[in-house]
Amino acid sequence: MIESEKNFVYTVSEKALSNIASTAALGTSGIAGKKGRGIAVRNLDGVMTAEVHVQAYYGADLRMLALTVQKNVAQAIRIMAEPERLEVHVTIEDLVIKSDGHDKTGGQCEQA
Amino acid sequence: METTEINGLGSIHISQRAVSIIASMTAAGISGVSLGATIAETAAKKMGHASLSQGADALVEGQEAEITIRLVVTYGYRIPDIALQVQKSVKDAVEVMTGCHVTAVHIMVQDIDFSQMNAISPKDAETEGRPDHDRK
Repeated sequence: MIESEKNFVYTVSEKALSNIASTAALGTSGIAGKKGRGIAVRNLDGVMTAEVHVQAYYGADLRMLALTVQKNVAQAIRIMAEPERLEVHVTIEDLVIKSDGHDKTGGQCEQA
Repeated sequence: METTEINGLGSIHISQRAVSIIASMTAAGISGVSLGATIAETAAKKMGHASLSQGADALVEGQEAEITIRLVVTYGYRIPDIALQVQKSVKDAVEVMTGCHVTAVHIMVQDIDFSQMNAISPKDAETEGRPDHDRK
């Protein structure tokens, strides 16, 4: 923190934070889109909690995929908002079939 | 319910629906197997909402999954062989793809499919206890 930032107070809206989380989550390869409750970020008492509900493409290792999403979302929020404490909860709600000629059972889980 | 894994950064969950889709797709990929449908699934299919998790139910608690699969076996295949193969494949696929532990895979053979009878000669099929016809 720079010296002149000491008396500088700012907040980032939950809407903006949700957008950051969405972009990071949906940009992960293997993720098809939002699902259910979608993606939301809450900021309570210095603890930032990101809830990420997504659907994935069939064929990937879901555990690794969820961990990758978690890492990507956390990184994006940390860089842009610097929370004191951050929790990212990822839920893979559903699977869909990728229809553009990809091998259905091939490992599509390239980690970002 | 869903699988739950808590780590330093928060938690990750994989829904029961996702697990049953993996089970269903894996079982459907085995030759001699087609999936059984419930009345609800048949109705949904007719209305153009085919379910990806057809024929498979998963019960997920913490890191453990119990799976039930309803299937229709093609006439001429040896049912115990098919059932065992489905059990193994489904267990492997779910464990590899979700990281959770599969405690049980229950198989329920609902019906026999006679529509592909020409594919396997009746002579082979009727020879009891000789599962040596070409299966691949």
